[in-house]
Parts: sequence; C-alpha cells; structure tokens
Amino acid sequence: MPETVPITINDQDFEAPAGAPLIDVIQELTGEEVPRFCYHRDLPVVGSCRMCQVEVEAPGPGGALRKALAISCRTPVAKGMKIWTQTPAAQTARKGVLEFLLKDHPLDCPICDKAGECPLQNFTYQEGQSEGRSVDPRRKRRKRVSLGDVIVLDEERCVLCSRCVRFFPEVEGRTQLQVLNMGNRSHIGTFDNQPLQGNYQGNLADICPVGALTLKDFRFQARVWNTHSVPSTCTRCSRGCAVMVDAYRGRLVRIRPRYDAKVNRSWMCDFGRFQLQDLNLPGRLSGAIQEQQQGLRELPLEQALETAAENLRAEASQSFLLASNYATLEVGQALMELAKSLQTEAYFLKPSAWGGDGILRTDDPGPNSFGLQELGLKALAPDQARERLAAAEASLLVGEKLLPLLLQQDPTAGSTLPPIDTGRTAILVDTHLRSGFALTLPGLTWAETQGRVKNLDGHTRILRPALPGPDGVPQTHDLVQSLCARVRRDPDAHSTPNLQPSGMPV
Amino acid sequence: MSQSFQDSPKFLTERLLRDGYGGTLAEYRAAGGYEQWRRAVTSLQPAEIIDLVKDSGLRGRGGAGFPTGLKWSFMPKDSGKPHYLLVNSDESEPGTFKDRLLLEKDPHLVLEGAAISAFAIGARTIYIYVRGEYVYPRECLDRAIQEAYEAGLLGQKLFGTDWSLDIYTHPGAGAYICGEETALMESLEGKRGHPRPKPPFPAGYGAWGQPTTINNVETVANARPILEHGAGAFRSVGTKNSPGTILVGVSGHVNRPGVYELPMGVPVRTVVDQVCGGMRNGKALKAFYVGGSSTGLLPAKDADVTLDHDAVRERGVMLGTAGLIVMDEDTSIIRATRVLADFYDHETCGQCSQCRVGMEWSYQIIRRIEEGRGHPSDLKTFADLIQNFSGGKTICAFADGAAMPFKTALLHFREEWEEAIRRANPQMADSPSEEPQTAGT
Ligand SMILES: Cc1cc2nc3c(=O)[nH]c(=O)nc-3n(C[C@H](O)[C@H](O)[C@H](O)COP(=O)(O)O)c2cc1C
Ligand code: SF4
Ligand code: FES
Repeated sequence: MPETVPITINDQDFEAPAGAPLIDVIQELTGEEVPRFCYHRDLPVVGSCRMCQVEVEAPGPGGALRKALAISCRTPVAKGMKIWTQTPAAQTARKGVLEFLLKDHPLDCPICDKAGECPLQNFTYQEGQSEGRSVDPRRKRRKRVSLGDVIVLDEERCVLCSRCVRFFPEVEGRTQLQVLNMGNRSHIGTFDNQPLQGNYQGNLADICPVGALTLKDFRFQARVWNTHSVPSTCTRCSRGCAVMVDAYRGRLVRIRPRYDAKVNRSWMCDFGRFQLQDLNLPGRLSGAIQEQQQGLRELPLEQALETAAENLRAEASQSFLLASNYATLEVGQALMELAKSLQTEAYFLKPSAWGGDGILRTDDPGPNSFGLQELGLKALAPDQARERLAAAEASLLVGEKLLPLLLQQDPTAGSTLPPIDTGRTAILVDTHLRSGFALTLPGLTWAETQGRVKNLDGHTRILRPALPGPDGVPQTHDLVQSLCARVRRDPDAHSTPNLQPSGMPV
Repeated sequence: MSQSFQDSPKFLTERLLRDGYGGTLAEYRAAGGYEQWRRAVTSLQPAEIIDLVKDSGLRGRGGAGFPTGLKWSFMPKDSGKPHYLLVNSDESEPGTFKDRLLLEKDPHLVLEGAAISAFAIGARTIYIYVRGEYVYPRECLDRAIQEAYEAGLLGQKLFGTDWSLDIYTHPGAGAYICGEETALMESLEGKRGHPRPKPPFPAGYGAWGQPTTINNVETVANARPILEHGAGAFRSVGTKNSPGTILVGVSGHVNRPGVYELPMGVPVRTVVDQVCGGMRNGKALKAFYVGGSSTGLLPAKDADVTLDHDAVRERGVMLGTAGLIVMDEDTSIIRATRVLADFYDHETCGQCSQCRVGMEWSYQIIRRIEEGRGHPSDLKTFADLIQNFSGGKTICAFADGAAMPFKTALLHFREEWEEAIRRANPQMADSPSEEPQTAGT
C-alpha cells in the first residue's frame, strides 16, 4: 500500500495515496469527473489532449511553492499538494481546449452513434461554451473509412487522443493503428491501409471518446438513450468478462465491456461482443413439447414436469443428469439436489478446448466449469457424455449450448445439428426444439438468465436478464427445482411458487 | 565590459576571419586546436570544467538561455549508466542560421567543444543531430569526425588515458519540432519526433532513458575558448547576466546580412547601422524579430534595445538564438505574421489539442485579414486563441514560441490590423471561403 498523504482539493482536506494520478484521486474523493480525452485508466498516460488541466500548488524544483496549471492525469499526488478544479484559470484553460477541439468537429451528433454517451458532448455541456467563434471553414476529412470488419472511422470527429493507437500495443502487444502525418493534418490509420485484425477491435469503439471509431455492427441501430442496459457477465468463455448488455425494443443490440479490476479491466473480446445473432434467434420454444410416434404434442408445463419426474423416478439411480457448462451455480445446485433424490450423480459437460487467444478469451467455451466442478458435478468430456447418453434409460440434459458442445460443433454457428443418439427417454431443457428427445422443456439464453457463475480464477459473477424470456418460460433453476420436488413427491410440489415466467426485474 | 563591437574578442570566429582558413584538421590544430581537449582529458576533472563553465556565466545558445554549467551539474555522478551528450544542430527556427557557419567553416571547433562538454558530464558518446536539409554541413562534420578519429583525437584510450569518446552525426528528416530537446531524443531513437511530457527531465531520463545533456552547437563550441582563455576573459565580454559573445545571424532588409560574432549587449541599432551597413535602399526600419521568429518582434522605436537576455526581456521579447530579422517600412506586418503562421501550422507536431488546431486557426484568421476578408471580431478571437494555447498549457514550448510573434505583432502594430479589417470588403467577408463548409453545423 502506498503511503497516504494530506492534500486539499478545492480547499477541502483529504488523505490520498502518494503518487496516484490526480485525475483519479479527484474523482474518488470528490466525485468530480475532470474532463479528459487522452487519459484512460488502462492505457499508458501521454498527457497530450490537455483537457484535464487543474490548478495545483506544490513545491517547485527550488522548494518554493508554485501555483500553476497542471494536467491532472499526469500529475502525481504529493504531500501537501493543493488542488483547485474550478478556478478561473483552470476553467479557462479547459474551455480553451474544448473550443479548439470543436473548431473542426462536424457537430453531426444527430446522426452519430456516440451521441448520448459521448465524452466530448458531455464535457462540452459541462463546461464548454454554447457558441462557436470560428468563421473559417472546418477541415474536410474522410467521413467513412473502413478499418476492417468491425470498425469504421470518421476522421472529422476524431480528436486525436491516441487512445486507439495505444490500445493495441497495450492489450495485444502489437501496433496496428498510428497517428499519420503531423499537425492538423494528422489522422489515424493503419500501416499500408491494412484492415485491423484480431479479436479485440471492438474495444476501440468503447474507448474512443468521440464518435470517430464506431462499430459497424451497431451503426445506426439505436440511440443509446433509448436502450435498456443491464450489467451482466459474458458467458462465451470461462473468463466471464463483466459486460453491459443493451436491449432496444425487445432485441439485444449491443454488448460492451464493463470495468472489472479482477477479470477483464476495461476490455472484452470480439468473440464475446458479437454474439447478438445467437441471442436474438427466432423460433424460440415457449412451452413443453412431447415427441410421440404420432408427432409432436404441446404439453402444459406442469404436466410436462410431472411426466419428466415420472420418467426419472422410474429409472432412479440409473438416470443420467447432464448440465452444460453454461448452467449457473443455481442450476448446478438444483441438479445436485435432484441427483441426491435419485441417488445418482450429476455431471457437467467439459467441452473440448476451443478458441483461446492467450489474452482474455480462454479455450473453455462456457462460463461455469469451475463453479460446477466445485459444486460437486462431475466433468465429462463430449465423447464420454455421448456414450452415457446413448446408453441411458432416462436422462435429463440442461443448459444453453449443450447440444453443439456435446456434438463438438461450433456452438456459435446456430446451424442445424447432426442427429444424436439419445437413448430411451431423454429430456432436454433448451431454447429450441431438438429432435430425438422424448420431452423438451423451454430454456433461456444467458441474456435472459438470473444467476451466478464462477470464472476460471474462481471469481463469482452475476448474470442478470437483459431481456425477458418468451412468455411463460421460467428461470431454468426454478424449473429444475420444481422437477426435483416432483421427483421427491414433496407435498407442496404442485404449488411451485417459483415457477413464474422469468420476468425482467425493472 | 562594453567594448565596442569592433574590439571585442572573436572567441568562436577568429580563425574564420583570417584569409584562406579552410577548417581542416591541420589548419585547426595549427591554431591551437584540440589542445584544450587534450588538457581536459589529461589534466582536468569533470567537476573542474563544470565549475569553470559556471564561473564563465555561459548561457545556452539554443533559445532558452539556460546557464550551461548549471545544466551540466544536473547530470548524475557515478550513475553506472551510459551518459549521452546530444548536440542540437537542428537549427530550423525562422531567422536562425548561425550554427551552420560553424558546422561548415570550423567543424573541428564544434567537435572539440562537444568533446570537452561530454567529458564534463561523463558522456563517452555524442550524437550530433543535424537538420535534415543541412546535407553539406553534415558532410563537413562527418569529414572532420573522420579526420579526428584518424588523428587519435576520438576513439578509445585517448591521450594515453582510459577515456574514450565516439561521435556520430544523425540527420533529421526535416521537422522543426525535432529541435525541441525531447522530440529530438524521440527522433534519434527512431520514433516520431513528438516532444515528451516533462518531468522526467533529460538529465535523469534522456535518450534511451539514460542520463542525457542536450546543448546547442554554439553552446558547446564555447567550451574551448572558455578553457583556453579562462572564465574571467569570457566574462569580460558581454554583460553581467549575459557574458561572452554571441553569433548574431542578421537577415532581412539590411545591406550586409550575415552571421556576426558580437559581444552580448550590443544595441540592435548598432547591428543594423554599423555591423550590417545600414538599411537596404536607404529605407527606414519598421520592426525586427529579435532572436528568431519565436522570440517575437519589436518596432523600430525599440531598436535601442541591447542584445542580452535581460534587456530584451524588459521589452517583452526574448533573445532566443539571436536571429535578427530586419524589416523595412515597406513590410506588411500582417503578411510577415501570416508567413510565420503558415510555418507554425505546418510544423506543429499535433499532439496537443490547442497547438494542433490553434496554429491552423491562427493562420486562417491572419490570411483572411490579409486578403481583405477580416471580421470585426477577429482580433479579439485571435488574442483569445493565443491566450488559450500559450502560457505553459502544452507539452512543449512550441506553442508558447508561436504565440510570441503573434502577440507582439498585435501589440505593436494594432493599427495595421485594425486598418486592414476596417478596409475589408464586407461582401468578401460574408462570402464563402474557397474551401466549402462541411455539412452538419
Ligand atoms: C520548437 C522548438 C524548437 C527548437 N529548435 C532548436 C534548434 O533547432 N536548435 C537548438 O539548439 N535548440 C532548439 N530548441 C531548444 C532546445 O529545446 C533546447 O533548449 C536547446 O537545444 C538546449 O541547448 P542550450 O542549453 O545549449 O541552449 C528548440 C526548442 C523548441 C521548443
Ligand atoms: S506544444 Fe505543439 S509542438 Fe509541442 S508537443 Fe504540443 S502539439 Fe507538439
Ligand atoms: S486527459 Fe490529461 S492531458 Fe489528456
């Protein structure tokens, strides 16, 4: 722990860690967000935009006190420092910077995806002036530069903070973007106009403090103030990056990283970010379906659960219980209880290693292998699991992505799966109807799920529903609990108080 | 103290004033060359040299006038790390061309002075960063370096001691900003020439992160005469706070433009009328940039100002590199300012928001006024812009330097600007500029 030293901020006394950047200390201690463009907590500090100036009094090189403007992002806390954020000198300096940044800015906020969550817009409201004084032409620059599959660049909006330039060496260990040319002819570009590469391009849209780098995927999809945003956890690998999930008119429109010091800091990978298609899939199962010789039959959920319970009870310890590693801790717990009631074991599918990138994305697809193992579920490799399933008299398969992972297929492709040998009576909880199962109960995607998962390092993180599931579909852990109660013939099993549709807490 | 400029010693240029001096090693040695280098290595301690230079009162000739001995004393002792001396010959300031004279005509003086300076700060490697366009001066330096190596004046085990010294030249690629000390280091390291934020300062963390001192060509050249003649002799020339001689590069509307070694404290009027043979075509003096464009200009009535740090500062400008640009009565201050604004707009590195945009904006305003499209609000806006990009708000001193000619032109020639705006054609002012406005505003 660094030593804490006394300082004052706007004439109030505080204790702050020596050496910490003022910009963070001011925000932590007073809540005031000093405007900034080039500073980003997870990137090397360059101190070039000059937006974060405050007035600081501290001993100068000779020891005498000196009061001067300083950039708060690159000024470390020192003992006895006096800081003022709102003196006329500081305000004028920042206003001046804003005026320069807006001089060439196209002010096309009405058609800009960043509007509403734009630091340039916010800081201008916070402390800029409302009228531009320039009567000279704004510099024309390229409006739509494709930087690869993910990002499109609008040079006119760029404030040259160089966050994107610093991002690649910092996160990927290689340079992709550079400031090209100099002075006001500077612009961002790649070497030789190559497209951006790799699994982390999407982060540029998050760290860009203006609308210069935007996601092709999100372009013109929604105004951000109309989206409903929920903090959750990405489930596409065992890292479990903290995310915000943004929904708009009943569809997911964006997933973006949320700061988590222990897991992903400010970043997430593109594989996790661009999974919306997978989550907005049509053809969702909203009730239970029984497969019979005469064809498919819809069953009321209660009746389906009763049927499932009978099937499992009949085979008891011979039944096979398998969760996908997308299953939450709550689902895992319910399955463990069920296994106890049946005097059998519960398993989870430990998928084949797939797709790690050595940065954030791990090669374990699915968020909860660690947590399920810890609960006592036994790991099964896909081929072992398929064998067991084929041999089982009765089985219960629970969890998102279970079938593709079981079949060692790309779980993200959403393509039709090859048939699978499901033994005699197989029961599936899934989002879509699959053939070969005696009974299919409706499941939820992770973006509709309430629950917890534990990442590869043992950090427990929360999933929160960003969308309601289809009408009448309960949370999967409630479904499994209810099934368990019926297997045990609990007296109140039929009242199923928790078996409510998975409403979205508002 | 105040000898007339004719009697003043020529510490740097005495050889050049002789007929037929070619600056070869043989000629330079015949004039006592490299004796001070030998003396430093064989019989002086680095600390003694630093003290001597402190006593001489030598101040940097690269622009800021920082006391050289003091700068050297910032270098760590026994750091166990390699130390570097960087010799700044980027010389790109408009109006400054004095280092070039030494590089071309007496390169061994530069090498000897640099060698002594390096010894004083414990550096065994010197990089001389030469302005990219200075192809010939660099050839002269390279030739001299080769001669010095061949004569055993550079290299390993010098003069039978353990001391060694290597000197390399490094060409710039044509960017003014690379004369700024930390941009120079970045450029030398093979990166974009972007000034670094300070601290850390070069003496602690310089080129390749090692203790580094950076000095101007003329500054290091003075090390030889200071050792040769002593601190007292150096101090006996010039003024109390600005001792010694200075190379004054005079350009513009005088009869004999050129580089002159003059005692510090010589009045500008004397330089124009006596040293340079008066104004060209008998015109009247209108204004002069004192020490390169970034130091600002003064009007003719200030021609009594003497060329030393204190005197010019009192008039609100700086001595800089003593590049005196003389302008006669026919000169348009607005046009002169626009030419400089064009330069600064082209040369700003563009890291800092205010400097990147402020230079172009300034240029646009000045050009509009010059072309008869000025707005009544322009001067207020321009003055505010200058305020907003200067005063230590940016990473390096470029923006503060650019502010000087703008500020002083507005201050001393307000009438001329106002007149131009008054005469502006109101229709022109409201007509669209040649570049179309972008949509969306
Ligand atoms: C924009 C800018 C350009 C500069 N260009 C030069 C230059 O070309 N030559 C030079 O000696 N110093 C130049 N300087 C000054 C150097 O940063 C530095 O102060 C100087 O080399 C130190 O040497 P001195 O102590 O011997 O004066 C420049 C400074 C700035 C801010
Ligand atoms: S002041 Fe200008 S030249 Fe200096 S670092 Fe900033 S942008 Fe570059
Ligand atoms: S945020 Fe501090 S200089 Fe950019």
